[in-house]
Amino acid sequence: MDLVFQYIQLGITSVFEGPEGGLTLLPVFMVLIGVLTGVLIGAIPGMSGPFAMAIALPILVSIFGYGNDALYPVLGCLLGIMKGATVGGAVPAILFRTPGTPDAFLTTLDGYPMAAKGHARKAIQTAHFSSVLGDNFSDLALFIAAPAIALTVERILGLPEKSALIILSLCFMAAVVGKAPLKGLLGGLLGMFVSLIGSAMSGNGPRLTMGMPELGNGLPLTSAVLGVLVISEVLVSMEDIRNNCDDASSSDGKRPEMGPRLTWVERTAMLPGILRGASIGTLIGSLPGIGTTTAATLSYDSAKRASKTPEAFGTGVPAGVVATESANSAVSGANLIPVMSLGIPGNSAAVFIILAVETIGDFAFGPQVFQFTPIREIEGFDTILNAGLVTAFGIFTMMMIANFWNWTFGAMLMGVLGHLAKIPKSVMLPVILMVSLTAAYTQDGGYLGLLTASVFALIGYVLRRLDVSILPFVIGFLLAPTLEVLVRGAFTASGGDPFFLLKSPIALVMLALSVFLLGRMVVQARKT
Amino acid sequence: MRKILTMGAALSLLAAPALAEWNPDGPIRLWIGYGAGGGTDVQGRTLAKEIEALRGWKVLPENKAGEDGTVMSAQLKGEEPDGQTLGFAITTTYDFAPMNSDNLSPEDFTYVTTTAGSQMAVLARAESGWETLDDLKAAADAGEELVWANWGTQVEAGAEIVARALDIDVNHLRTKGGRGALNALVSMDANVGWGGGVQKPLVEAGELNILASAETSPVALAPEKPTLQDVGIDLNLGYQYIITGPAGMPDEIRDEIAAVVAEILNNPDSETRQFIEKQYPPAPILTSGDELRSQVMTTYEANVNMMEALAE
Repeated sequence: MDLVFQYIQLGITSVFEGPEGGLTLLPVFMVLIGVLTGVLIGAIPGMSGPFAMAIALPILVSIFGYGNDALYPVLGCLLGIMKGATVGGAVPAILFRTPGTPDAFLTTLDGYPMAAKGHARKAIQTAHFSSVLGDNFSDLALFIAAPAIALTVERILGLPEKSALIILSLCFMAAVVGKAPLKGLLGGLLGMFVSLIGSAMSGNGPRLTMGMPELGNGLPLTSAVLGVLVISEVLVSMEDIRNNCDDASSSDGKRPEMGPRLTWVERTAMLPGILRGASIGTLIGSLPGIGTTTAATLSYDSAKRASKTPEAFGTGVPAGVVATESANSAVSGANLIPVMSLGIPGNSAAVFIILAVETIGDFAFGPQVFQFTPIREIEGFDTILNAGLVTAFGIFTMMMIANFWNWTFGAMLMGVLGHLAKIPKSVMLPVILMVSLTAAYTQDGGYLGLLTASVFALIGYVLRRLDVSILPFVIGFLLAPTLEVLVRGAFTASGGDPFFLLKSPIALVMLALSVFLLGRMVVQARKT
Repeated sequence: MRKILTMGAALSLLAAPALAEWNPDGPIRLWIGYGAGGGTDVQGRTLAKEIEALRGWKVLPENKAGEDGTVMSAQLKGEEPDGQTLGFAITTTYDFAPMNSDNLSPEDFTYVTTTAGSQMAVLARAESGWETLDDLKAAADAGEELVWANWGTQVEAGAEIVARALDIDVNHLRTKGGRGALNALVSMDANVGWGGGVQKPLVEAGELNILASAETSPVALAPEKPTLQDVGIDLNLGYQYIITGPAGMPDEIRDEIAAVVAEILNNPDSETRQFIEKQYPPAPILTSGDELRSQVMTTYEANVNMMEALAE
């Protein structure tokens, strides 16, 4: 236990320790910038946290570089954005009935009527209080669950079981994301297919490079993800604006009456509701692919069912705001559980956290991070410890710092946000397009990056127009190389046994579950 | 007469740097043939930093990992040999890996200089209790399934040669770089593996044991352990870290870059040198120019013969 505390202590100090051993507040400051940016971006309809993270990542990398020193400032800023955006989205939802982020949609149901009744301040403060508390709750779950899961996985699961686990995650993700699971599955498979380009680890040279040696190391990751997630969304939005399908705002834009503050008695009364919402959000968040909107919906429904006055929901009760905001914010921390323990991203925000970690320095997520190597000092040489674990606790520390900023500055910013929520899309979209293309050019080897981003933007555009959810594509694309290494390893390590995946009961159960999910998807698709 | 000639040569050598001072026209791209965080990467990046500090040349390191460094070398081959695109990988990339590729040959490159030599060793987890290759054989004979972690074709062939010499069966696991092999050992996906130098902290922490050295002499971390050759296995998997350029680089550029690297690595305060002393002891290995070129060519021949012998 001493060792755990030693590592936690090292992790905390690592955030505040500069390269020469002096005090640095840079990561803390970057977290603050991130939180403020996140709250702002969250409050602009049409923008979301992952969007801002996508654009911020290349900018941050060009400022701080790729070295190990860059990890904390960059990651801190991204975590800040992720957390800030979860609270910011509620403001326009309450004031103008236009959710700033998609997951704040349900907040309009009770938040807007509250504002209409002249309780706008109360509604915003309720949203902030439950949002931040929900987020903190799920962070605690992350801090405890991620190391525990990682250690268990590493002790119990061998190569075949880890392969089966990734197959199961991908099937699960396809099954739960979006309205058409089979389409999601196809999207995922397509993503896995494009990731086959490049190194095959066979020793026989790279594959599918179409004669371009530049593709030998695979497609440039950041450009590909920017293209498919961000630029394609810009294309779709531009088209919508042109076709006038874009429903600008369902309100007249007038700022409602702010009204009185939220009292501490009211806050205390919300705690049970927040706990329920946060638990639902944490549970949903720890499963890959389900996401914030589902968590908010489930939480809202369960709060309504538990309420003594269910008919009041939708007319402006604080309990409705509490239910949605605590749940959708609790997703963000819990989403990092599969990321930090297994390297499996569960939503777009997590995708960018993983991208940042892969681009910068030598830290990488995965079970090896949570090895509690005894700390030993060798005279005149070096200290032996698991540096990855220190970094992991450093990341946890920055999340706590982000929470602190969210409690303080986040609350202040939310109060004055109303005016800022009205930047028109026609201004935002060209800016986003330009920044992402520049990012692809500078970060990923010039024209190859641009070309990749454009091709992936086209893929994303087609997928969106065909109503195929993008997330399985991205996650298939990111996870396929890991899966290939595992499957290839499991096969050769078994001595070339053709039934290598079916020899272990744990792998068998996970594969059976995957087959069940696939079958269910087919049956569902037939019905509709 | 002879004396005068020698003196003249010595003088011209002294004067050479001043006369042939070559400076790049813009930034130098240093392509690292292995992934971030490995021994090649750390060395390449520190060296880039120090070249910049010493000469004011802007050096931009970039990872191009995969296929024993050949993902990088395949791209390097087609670049201008003007000294502004350099590759940093290991000798295996040039004296072994081209064998498996139709598009690559050791003739495609200019060999600038080596920087350090490997500390190639056979590793096992300490908790397995294995101390020597005999322990490994005993475990295999007792029915334990052996999985050997390798990061490339050459070391996998090496593992097979060891297994045949010990008359045991091993299954192979291909990992990403030397770091991947260590991760596979620590996470128990493999129970024996190769380490080229990155194993140092884990061996010192008592997590891993060195069973034997795969160099021509014992490795610094375990001087008491025999080499493979000592136990009758004719195998030397030692390699060097090496800077290269595309074929056709003018000699004065090649020698100038080699000289800059030598100046840095001969300085006891150099960060790169200190890293090498720690990870790849005892000291940097600086072979350059034509001597290095003939070393690569000779080893390539030997490796082709080894693989042919293995295939029989």
